[in-house]
Amino acid sequence: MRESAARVEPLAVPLDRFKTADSGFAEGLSALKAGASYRSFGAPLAVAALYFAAAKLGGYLAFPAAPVSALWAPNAIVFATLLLAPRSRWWAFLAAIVPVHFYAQFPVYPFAQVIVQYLMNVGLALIGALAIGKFCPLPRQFDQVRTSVVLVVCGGILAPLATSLMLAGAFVAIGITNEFWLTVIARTITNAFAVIALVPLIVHSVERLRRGRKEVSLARAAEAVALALCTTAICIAVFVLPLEPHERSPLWLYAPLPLLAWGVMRFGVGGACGLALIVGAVSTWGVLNGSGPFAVRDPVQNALSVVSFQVMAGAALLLFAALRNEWRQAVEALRRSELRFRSIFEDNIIPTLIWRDHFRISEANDAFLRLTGYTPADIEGGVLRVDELTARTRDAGATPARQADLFERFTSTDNELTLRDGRRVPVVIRHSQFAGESGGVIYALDLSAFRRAEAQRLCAENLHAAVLGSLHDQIAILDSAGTVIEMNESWRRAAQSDSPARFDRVVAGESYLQACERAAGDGNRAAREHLDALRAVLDGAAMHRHLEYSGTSAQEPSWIEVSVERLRRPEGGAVITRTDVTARKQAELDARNQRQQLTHLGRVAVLGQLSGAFAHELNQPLTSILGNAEAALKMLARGTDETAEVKEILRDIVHDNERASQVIQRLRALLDKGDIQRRAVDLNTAVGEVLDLARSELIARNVQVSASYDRFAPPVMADRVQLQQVVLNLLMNACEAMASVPVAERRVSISTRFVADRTSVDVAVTDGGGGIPPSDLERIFQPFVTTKAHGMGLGLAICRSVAESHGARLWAENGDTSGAVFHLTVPVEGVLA
Amino acid sequence: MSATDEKPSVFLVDDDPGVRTALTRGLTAEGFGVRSWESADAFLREHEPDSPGCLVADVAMPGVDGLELQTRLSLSGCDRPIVFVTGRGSIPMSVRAIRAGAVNFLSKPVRLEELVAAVREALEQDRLIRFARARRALVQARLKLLTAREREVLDLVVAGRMNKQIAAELGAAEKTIKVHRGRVMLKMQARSVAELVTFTSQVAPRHAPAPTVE
Repeated sequence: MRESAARVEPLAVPLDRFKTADSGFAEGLSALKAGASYRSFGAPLAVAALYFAAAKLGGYLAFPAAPVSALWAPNAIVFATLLLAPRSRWWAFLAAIVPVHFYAQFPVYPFAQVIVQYLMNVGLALIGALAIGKFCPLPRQFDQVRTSVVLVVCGGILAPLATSLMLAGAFVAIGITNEFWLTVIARTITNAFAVIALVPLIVHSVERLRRGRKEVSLARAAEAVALALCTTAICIAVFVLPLEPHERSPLWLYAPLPLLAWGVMRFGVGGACGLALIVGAVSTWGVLNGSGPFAVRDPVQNALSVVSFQVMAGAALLLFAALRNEWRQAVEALRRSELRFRSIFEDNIIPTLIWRDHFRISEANDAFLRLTGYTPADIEGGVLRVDELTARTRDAGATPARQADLFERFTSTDNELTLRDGRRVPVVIRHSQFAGESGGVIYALDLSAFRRAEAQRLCAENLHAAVLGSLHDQIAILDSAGTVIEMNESWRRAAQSDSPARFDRVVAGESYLQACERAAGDGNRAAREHLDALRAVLDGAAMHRHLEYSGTSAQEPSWIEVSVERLRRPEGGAVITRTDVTARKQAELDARNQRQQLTHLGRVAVLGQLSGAFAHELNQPLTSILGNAEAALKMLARGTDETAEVKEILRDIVHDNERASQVIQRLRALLDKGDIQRRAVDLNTAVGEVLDLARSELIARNVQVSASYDRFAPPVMADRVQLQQVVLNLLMNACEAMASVPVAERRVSISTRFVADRTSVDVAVTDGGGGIPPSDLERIFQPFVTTKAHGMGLGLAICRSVAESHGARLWAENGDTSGAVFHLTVPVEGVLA
Repeated sequence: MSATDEKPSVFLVDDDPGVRTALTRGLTAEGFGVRSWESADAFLREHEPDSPGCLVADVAMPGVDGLELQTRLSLSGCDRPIVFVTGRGSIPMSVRAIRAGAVNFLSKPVRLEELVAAVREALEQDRLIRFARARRALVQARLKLLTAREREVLDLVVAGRMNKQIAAELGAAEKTIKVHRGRVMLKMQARSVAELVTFTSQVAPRHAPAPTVE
């Protein structure tokens, strides 16, 4: 037996349509997957066997005098098989029947008859199966009215009739019989009964078996048996009891009806078919015995009439069963639908209620009860009315007679729902009316949370606007494209006040970025700085940028500080703040001026100490010049040709003159109270120059200087002259500290060092004096603190302020030997103060 | 051969090269021979104390300064005359220098004729010193020729004693004394007692008898 692994035939519809329960054919087809397949040879053989058995049975049950069998099952079996099997396998079954049919009929009956019979029998089954296939949508079940009707009409009447006509015609033509109409009628009604009684039963049972054995309770089995027995008994009483016709009331015929009704109600199609068979069997038995309401005429007529009766009864029972099933299914579907609705209604998070007649609220879900505070008891009391729910509708006065008016009021947007305790909440109400009846559904969405959020948002917005409005600084908010989306009052006023158009007078809606681009393109330097800062922040390269620029008019200088900050939100953007810093700037300038003056004073004081040194420095070249000049004069006076030597002398004079100029320049530079120029200064050469300057002074004081330079020290951003002044001051202080030290020990060392953490360069001046008491190490940098007999004590204070203006540190410590060490630590790439 | 036969030079010590060049030129043009050094140390190392010449030095120099140089020279017994030329002089400094024996103390910028005058003076001084030294040396040499006895006689003669007194003091005959005296005069190449006195006064006496107090 071949078990096919392939799946269901194209005949089959997609299986997911069969997911509903109670789908007979569907279950059968899905049972195909389990392998018990109609493909095997077993099924056709089984069917053939049944066919044979049924044919024999039919033969036994033939009416003696009429060409009618009480139960001609074979055709019904074939019919049922065709309904159950996939269409592609039909040939197998029809073929399997051929030998059996022949075996059953031949050679008793003539060959032609057998053939014709075979064809017509098969034809009947085919017509019926095809009809059902065409007219009945899947799933096909005989407990549906439609299927039953088609079965009865097509399979039970039309198919038998058509095939009987053809068969009778053939028989008459062949000469088997010459009773055309009798043959037709007999065969028709016989087959009709068989089809009606057996096909549903077979199909139903097979499906039942395919689905698997369901537990049949003992009670139900007992009931079925009881019913069968009772029906049999009644039928016997009706059909078999020998009674004279005149003693029989026609009412007897209706005696089995209650039992039949019971059977159909309780057992559906199976019950209908089974009872039909019982009735059929018993009534046939009665006719055969010659008793009963059908045994009144000649045998043929009797046979025909009893079978007709059976057909009617069977059809009626089948239809009744179908109706009953459909009714039950409808009830079940209704129940399920009701359950679904219930759950939707009850579990909805939106407060929902249902009202019925006279606007009374009949049901409300949990959400509604929670919202309003009503209890289920209130609802059940039926006193709540829809029109009383909302203040609007209540205040509207008398209940509008027309529902339309009421509901119109509902759909306005500012409704308020009245809670049980009298409070009101803002809601959105929607309603929907039941079609065709009085009543409807009402949904109420609580807006309190939304209203609260709305109020908060408004509050925040108002605060935001108030803050912006009250700020003195001008503030504008840009989006990521550089367009002004919001500006505060100060900004607006500033933008609209200035008469000469400035590039940054941009108002909301205009692009600040473009304004800056235009002005920068025109060469406006401030605009270019703005543009760079804006671009950097908007592109995300920087979190903030600051810039300053001076105002327009020269008479009244003004300074504006602009800060561009990145807006911390996903869409980007920037906040521009403009502050008038004129006063602050002025104060800064004043302070700087004062510091410069002070520094100058200090410088002058130090220079006073160096006057002797300067005089000496100038004297050297002057002596040289004088000596050279007089020598030249002498040479020329000799009269000999000394041109070459005189030339050399003159060159030397020029050179000496330059030397003298340099000294004077340096002097001038030191005296210059000029603006601070921050340049890259190599501290090594700067310190060297200071040593040059002070050389003669150091010699005069008999001080020996040793210098060590760190060649890795990088340049610092500073004012060269100012730093040199500080170093000079320290040098002079060192010399003075050693005034009472023996000459041989008067040593000063200067060193430059690139500090270990690579942030600054340290210039250290170490002397061989007596050192500084630890408690004075900081004090000496304060103004008016001095150890000199005549000195103002400003030198170190000024030096420290100069150092601090460079972001540098000036500090002192005691060295390893007896003297003190002063450090000037200058940061690299100056962190300018 | 006397040391005085060498041509006198000017020895110039100044740390500033421009000044050295210029002064060298000026002095050379005046006909002096000039040698110059950058520092006092270099000068002390290289110069020959006996060579004739004077020293022109700056005061403010690194290391050994001018005044220190002056001190060292005199400590080493060199009495070469010094002319100081300085850019930063002060009165106390100049007084110190002069008192220590400097010929002059000039301030920069210095006029050539002023410098030349001072140099000439210094060279003259140097010549005189040399001359006196040479003289002394000569007398010393002659003195060495004397015997002990002659020496004694010399001492007494220079002290102003008469022969008779000398004879009495030394315990010798007068005649002998006369002979000694004659020899002394010859060896000492003195033409008169006065010259003898002059000679011996140039040399430190071994032990001077007490001068005759009449």
